[in-house]
Amino acid sequence: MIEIISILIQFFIFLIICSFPLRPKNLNNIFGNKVNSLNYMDCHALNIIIFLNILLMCSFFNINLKVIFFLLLTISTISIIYRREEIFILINKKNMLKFLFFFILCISIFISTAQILKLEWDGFHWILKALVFYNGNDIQDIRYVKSLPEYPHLGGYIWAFFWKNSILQLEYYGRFFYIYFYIVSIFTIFNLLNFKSDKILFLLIFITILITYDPYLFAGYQEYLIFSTLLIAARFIGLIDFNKKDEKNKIFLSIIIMSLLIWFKNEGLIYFLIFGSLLVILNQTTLNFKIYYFTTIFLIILIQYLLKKHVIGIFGSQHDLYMSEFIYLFYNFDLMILKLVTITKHLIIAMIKYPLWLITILLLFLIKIKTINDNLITRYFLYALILNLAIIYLIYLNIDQSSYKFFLRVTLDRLIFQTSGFYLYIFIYFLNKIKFKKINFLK
Amino acid sequence: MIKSFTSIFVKIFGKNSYIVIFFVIFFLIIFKFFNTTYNTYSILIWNYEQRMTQSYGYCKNESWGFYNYVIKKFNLENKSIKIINHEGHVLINALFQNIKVVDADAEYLMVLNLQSENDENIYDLKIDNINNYEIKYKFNNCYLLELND
Repeated sequence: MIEIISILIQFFIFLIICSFPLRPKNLNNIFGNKVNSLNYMDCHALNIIIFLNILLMCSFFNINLKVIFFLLLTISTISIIYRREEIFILINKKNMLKFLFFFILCISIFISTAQILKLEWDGFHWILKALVFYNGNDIQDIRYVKSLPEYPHLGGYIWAFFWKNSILQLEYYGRFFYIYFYIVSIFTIFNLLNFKSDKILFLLIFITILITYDPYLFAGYQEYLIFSTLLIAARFIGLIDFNKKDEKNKIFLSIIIMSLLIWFKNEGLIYFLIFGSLLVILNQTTLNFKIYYFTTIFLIILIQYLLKKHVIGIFGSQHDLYMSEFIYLFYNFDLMILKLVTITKHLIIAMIKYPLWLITILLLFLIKIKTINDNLITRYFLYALILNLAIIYLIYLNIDQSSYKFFLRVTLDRLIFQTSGFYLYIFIYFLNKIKFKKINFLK
Repeated sequence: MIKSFTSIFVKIFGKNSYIVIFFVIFFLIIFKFFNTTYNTYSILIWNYEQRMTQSYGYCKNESWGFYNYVIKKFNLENKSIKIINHEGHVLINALFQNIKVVDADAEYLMVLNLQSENDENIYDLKIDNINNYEIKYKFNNCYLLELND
């Protein structure tokens, strides 16, 4: 019984900690517009982004996890008490139903994780980083972790943070935050929907969870962190009017959200670079601001490099890109064709496993490429998708012939999964184009 | 009976009755999809250690149960141990924080899920320095061996 009660308490801890500092009123003044105002869930998603950035900073100072936790919890609680009247206004039938739905989804997945408990293969690599922080060791000790020390540490830090600060101090409590982040991100992206029927919204959210929920990836893997961050980024990119020059705040916000990707996994760096750069290139902002955004992107990457190299003391990746492999392929055309066919085959298999990609590609054909090209924001997501696939081909072409098939089998599905949420925007864009008004059920 | 239940239901919820029914069914589908009711039952019935053993196996797969038993029984905390999962499963020593896992010169050797043919025993297998160890505890195909003085 104590486990069930502490699971419920854990949910409310997430809810309280992530309710600070932003609220809809001040967020709408900065980012909202008449068509798409920002609600409590958007604030919650952005508060998570702020919270993760705070944790990232704290991770370099070796501060006691309990101190950070109690400080954040106290500040958030005081903030909620201070804003109690604003919160009481929010408590109405419509919001309560939405909250109940959110609560049921979170608790159901929490309980499922608590019952299965098991960490899968890569979970035992990532837990080693979490243990460094859980045991209160210095961040430099990551260097001595037995497997993949060069991988980013933020996921492990979050894991350790909530593991240490849970009532029972059991390992799986640390992974609950991944679930919470995932559910919040799905609720957030559906704020882009134009129609306001709760029933259809709930069904769409549930269908998205049916398609994207994979308990295996909650067993210690970091893919959901990238998936959820990209979903939140897509929600705020969806607010940007690409034809306007005065969208500086929203572009900057989207870049800041995506910057977290580089701290979850090594490939996050590539996603940040291509999705961030594309956002700047396709925008109609002035040249000066484009230079400013590019400088920001490269500064963020440079800071990460310097921190990893000089503070933690380790930088690199499991697979560096080798030009020699490309040159070798260039002179062995048959091998290149064979590799391309094999990668395509595994790509299709991975897309069957995580069908959000298939839905996205199907919708792209339905919406018609021409319509997409007329609209800058859908063009952004189309180009992002093409570049994403191109990067996948490049990565696997670069792996030598003896092992690329093995890596295709064990890693490609996860690589495909983690960016699939980003293209949910295309799905929502498609839904917004459909006229639902005649269906009584939706009223 | 059904008629009176329906009238009470309509009296309570009025025009919203069908919305209530929709959401009740919808939430039940969610519970079914995530197996929430069974999972809650399982958590209430089995404690953490029992569920860990169910998930990882006692002396199969990752063999959490065997780890947990021998670490407690033979007080292996802070002792150097070499662990081999002969079936190729991932080593889960990270879940036991007080044991010191080493690759060589270990005081203890833990062999899990030993794979053998016919009359082969653990000493017939190609494990480094296996003859320097003696069996301290055995459960099915899982062994704890201690280095001879």
